[in-house]
Amino acid sequence: MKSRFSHKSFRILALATLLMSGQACKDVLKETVISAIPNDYINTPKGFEDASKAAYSSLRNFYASERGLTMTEYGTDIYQAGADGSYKGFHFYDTQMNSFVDIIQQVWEELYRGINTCNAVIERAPAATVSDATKKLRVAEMKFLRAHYYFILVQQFGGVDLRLTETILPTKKTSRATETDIYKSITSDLESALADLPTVKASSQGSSDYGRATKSAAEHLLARVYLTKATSSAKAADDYSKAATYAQNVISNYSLKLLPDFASVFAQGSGEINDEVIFSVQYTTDPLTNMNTANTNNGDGNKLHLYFGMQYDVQPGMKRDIANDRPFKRLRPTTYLLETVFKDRVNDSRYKKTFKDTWLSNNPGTNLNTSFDNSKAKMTLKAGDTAIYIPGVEWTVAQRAAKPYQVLVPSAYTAALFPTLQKFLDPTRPDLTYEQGSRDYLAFRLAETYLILAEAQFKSGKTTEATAAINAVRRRAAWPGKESAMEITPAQLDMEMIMQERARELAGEQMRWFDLKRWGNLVERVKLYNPDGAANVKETHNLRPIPQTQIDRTEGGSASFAQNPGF
Amino acid sequence: MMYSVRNGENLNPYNFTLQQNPLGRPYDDNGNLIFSPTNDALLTNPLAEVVPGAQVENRKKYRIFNSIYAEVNILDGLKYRVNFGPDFTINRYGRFIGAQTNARKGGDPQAQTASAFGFNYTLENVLTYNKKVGDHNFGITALQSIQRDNFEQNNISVQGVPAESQQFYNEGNASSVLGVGSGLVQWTINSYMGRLNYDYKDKYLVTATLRRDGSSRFGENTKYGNFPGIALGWNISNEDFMKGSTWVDLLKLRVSRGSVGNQGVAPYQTQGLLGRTVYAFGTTPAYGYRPETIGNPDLRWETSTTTNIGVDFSLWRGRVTGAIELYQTKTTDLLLSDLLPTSIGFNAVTKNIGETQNKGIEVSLSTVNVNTKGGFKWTSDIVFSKNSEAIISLFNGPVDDVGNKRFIGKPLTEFYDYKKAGIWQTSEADAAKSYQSAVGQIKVQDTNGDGKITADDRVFLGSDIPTWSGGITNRFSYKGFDLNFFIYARVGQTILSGFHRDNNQLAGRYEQIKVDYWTPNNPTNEFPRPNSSQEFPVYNSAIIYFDGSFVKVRNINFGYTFPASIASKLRMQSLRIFSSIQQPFIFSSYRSKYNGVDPETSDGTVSNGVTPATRVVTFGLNVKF
Repeated sequence: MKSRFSHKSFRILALATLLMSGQACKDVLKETVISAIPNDYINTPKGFEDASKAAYSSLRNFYASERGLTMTEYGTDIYQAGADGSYKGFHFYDTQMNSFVDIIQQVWEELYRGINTCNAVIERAPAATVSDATKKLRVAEMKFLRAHYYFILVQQFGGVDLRLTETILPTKKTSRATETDIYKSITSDLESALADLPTVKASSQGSSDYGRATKSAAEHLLARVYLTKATSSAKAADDYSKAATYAQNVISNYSLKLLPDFASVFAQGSGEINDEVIFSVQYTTDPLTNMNTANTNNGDGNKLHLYFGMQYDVQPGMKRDIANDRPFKRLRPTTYLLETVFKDRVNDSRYKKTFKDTWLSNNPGTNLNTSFDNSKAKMTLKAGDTAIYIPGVEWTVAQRAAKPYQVLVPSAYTAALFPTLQKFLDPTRPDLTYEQGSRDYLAFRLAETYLILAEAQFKSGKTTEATAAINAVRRRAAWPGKESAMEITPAQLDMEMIMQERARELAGEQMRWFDLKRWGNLVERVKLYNPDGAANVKETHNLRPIPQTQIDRTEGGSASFAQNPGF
Repeated sequence: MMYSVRNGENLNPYNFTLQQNPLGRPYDDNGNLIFSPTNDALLTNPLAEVVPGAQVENRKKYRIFNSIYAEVNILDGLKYRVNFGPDFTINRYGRFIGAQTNARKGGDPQAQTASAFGFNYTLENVLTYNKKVGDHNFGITALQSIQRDNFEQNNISVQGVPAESQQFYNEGNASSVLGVGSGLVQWTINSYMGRLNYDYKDKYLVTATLRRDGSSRFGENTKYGNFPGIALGWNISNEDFMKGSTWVDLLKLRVSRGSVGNQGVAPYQTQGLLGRTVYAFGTTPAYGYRPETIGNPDLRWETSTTTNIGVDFSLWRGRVTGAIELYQTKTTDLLLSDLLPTSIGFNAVTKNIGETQNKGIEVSLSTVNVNTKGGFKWTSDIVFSKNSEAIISLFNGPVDDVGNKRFIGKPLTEFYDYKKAGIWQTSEADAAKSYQSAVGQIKVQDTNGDGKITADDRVFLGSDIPTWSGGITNRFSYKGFDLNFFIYARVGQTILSGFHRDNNQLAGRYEQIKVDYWTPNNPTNEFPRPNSSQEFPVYNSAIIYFDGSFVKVRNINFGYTFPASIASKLRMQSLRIFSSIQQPFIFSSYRSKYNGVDPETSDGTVSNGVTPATRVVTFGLNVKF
């Protein structure tokens, strides 16, 4: 017998071998998930709650993201192309907006993940070991979210894949439902959720429930859905009256109130929770709850502070800082928005409160070369001096020369220089480059409810009531003492007034493209007011291209899942 | 036992440096770095990245591995052996990004650490029995083995490190936590194998093998796969009738056919797992869990069956030696990710998808071309290979799968995209307009001729698999001098150029790769007209594919060894001086015509972050005492 080892050590090794290979027979190949969570966790009480929380997170994909903003404000009558950025096809309506664009795919994928999560909670609820009250409440919340996601999808893409059951096995069989089917599902989800949702207004929700669906949120969404459905292929005769009823309920039943000052609606921090907010998408200052680093498609902070800024940072006397934010200059207000919609600046405070017009020097110097203001060649600035001022109207050279700073007049506006929407600026970010802003995104607020009511009533021929509704919004927007001057008479109310009022009140709030589509005048108004989109916009642009991945991966390809016309 | 430290594994400011505005000044009059050389806030000074301490990336690896065995002869020719191979790894990763860097642009410094602990062991029980009966030699091997792998890791990343000198060594001092994580991955393979060797007078050789492998990664009822193999050899030069041959030294014919299993999927693919979501209600965290992956309980082994015919030969007393291999590999139950329409709430599932076939030839040849009595010798080594890959069938049989970009008869890595037909020229303004394009923009091939560009116009653009590749080494020696060089060629593959995708904005903001772009006075069909208000040219995916063929001189070595008499006078054992050049020449149209850097890539994509091919010239002196 030859061995490198002594007999004793050989025996020990042989014994160890026997022990280890004895275990090998049966269980050794069993795979046990330890650091991940298997699917059946959702069947536990805690898992049921966690899945319902997960369903909310998909809101962040669309609201207050570059994706949602691009698909709602670009290429409208109020916003045209800024100098920088991707996704210019949404401004120009050219071939850059096609079925391969990543943001379209991202929105589609994440909203459907949200829908599948809602489906999972709703389907597993009957067997869930939680109290009946919790069960009912969570199911109602899931229906609110599922309807919300389908409402975004149907407006953007038309009839999409209608899936109301949890996906258990992989499948490639998908198809397009009609818009009517989708709307039927949306209204039925929302109306059946009403009974079980809390009647408390958002600002009175418990601090650990703030941001969950409420009955007022569902009613606001129903009002918007019926208003939109009324001009869709799914329209019914009573759509406007239903929209008006739900809007009126929101206004009357929950002691919600318009804040006295338009500017305070966009106060950051504790001001984000107020009596005007019906439903808001939640963002926080804590990176751990504000972004999903494992999947930024699921949530990456409020990014709207990035996109509306003009290029102040390369101007003399200025450099980029936290307070003035990162100026991505993606969208530039159209002349129509600035000169027509916001024409009244004497009575209406919203031009001044919507746009930032003054920049104070943070990079002082002497004999700085001026850039866009040709009324002077040099200027000297101390820290804190005004460096840039946008009067909003033309000034003569002499008027400008009299000022020690640069004056940006409308004739000098460019794709990089323009009044900057300040609703979303976020000076509380921890540092200059930080993108994940913390503002809640106010998805539904009472001012819009009034405007929905006004539009629904006007369309139903109730001009006097509609005028009262729109005046509620206009009075609040007045400079102090100008309230009655802001009021309009029923004779002054027409669709143009409603369309302008929505722009004045809601500019930048991820609404305009939906509005134009609802009014059926996207093409007309882009041709009239948006010089970038005018050349190419067509009726087919009332729908976005279906993501190519959806079509290519579906069994049967485009024969089973047709692309929208024109793409 | 091993210990290693590696710095900067992912740090490469090359790509970022390429984008710099040439009008910027890197240093002020006092020689200090200017952090923002121009007023473009994104283009910070790349030299700031290499200031010591600004960017730290450091990995320490410890590894302890061993191979312990014991062997016992039970009977004459019957042996039992046990092998035990434990392998411990510890891995610590540290990362620090200071404020004065492009990533932070003056923001708070960030730090990150990650640690990983691995324990892998293999335990094999082997029985062998060898027996010689006359001219017959038998060998039998029986093996049982188990391999188990445990991998644990944890990580944390923080922001707001107070003092930059702390780097990543005190994350507790940071002002906020960006993320924390830990994880455990385990897998096991359990195998049985039997092998029979037989030869007769070393003339006829047979090896028959049967393996049965089980993997924890597969489904409950599909964990095990059987993989047989047989190999036959005929050593013709050992036959009596060849004994008299004056020119054949060795001639051996080999034929084999065998299967191997591939378990190439990550663990836990058979089960549906939840993914974590992040949300909040007010300031209260509302982390959630939702269905993230869809499990496939039927996952099983991917099997590659290779048939191989080979000849080994040596002729004229070693003047010509070499081998020729012909092979065909059929891979069935291919394990691949199957992309799903995302409206179902999932993106992909891992599946046994279909069947591919690889066919090819490999030739290696060594020759002694000249060997004079005067001491001049010239030898060559030649290798040549040619491989073709084709998908035979997919999940639904021989049907193309556009969603996964897999096509019957094409390799798995086929590029499928829009094809550039040229650039719209001034005379084609109307046609360009009808395609919603404009003069100077990329003209995409309207493959189906329907007057618009849609997804149906995508075409096959080639794959990263070369038509052939080969190399030749020539060695010359004369008296003390020696010279050799190695030339390598790869021909016929298509590459995707990251430089032409990501460093070809044609928008004027970033410095970019030099291309032949269209202007009214330069009506080229190569690259489109620059446009200051674009992020990238429209349809720029049509200008990123190139012929990746190349010929490289990999190295040239030249040396002189002094005669022993001279060396010994200098009290040396030997003395040699030499010079070598690594990669002195690369010939490729991707380089010469399109200013690419190095067309050689392992996966068909030339990354724009890649460090350029370097040419290293060495002069050396080799002295032995």
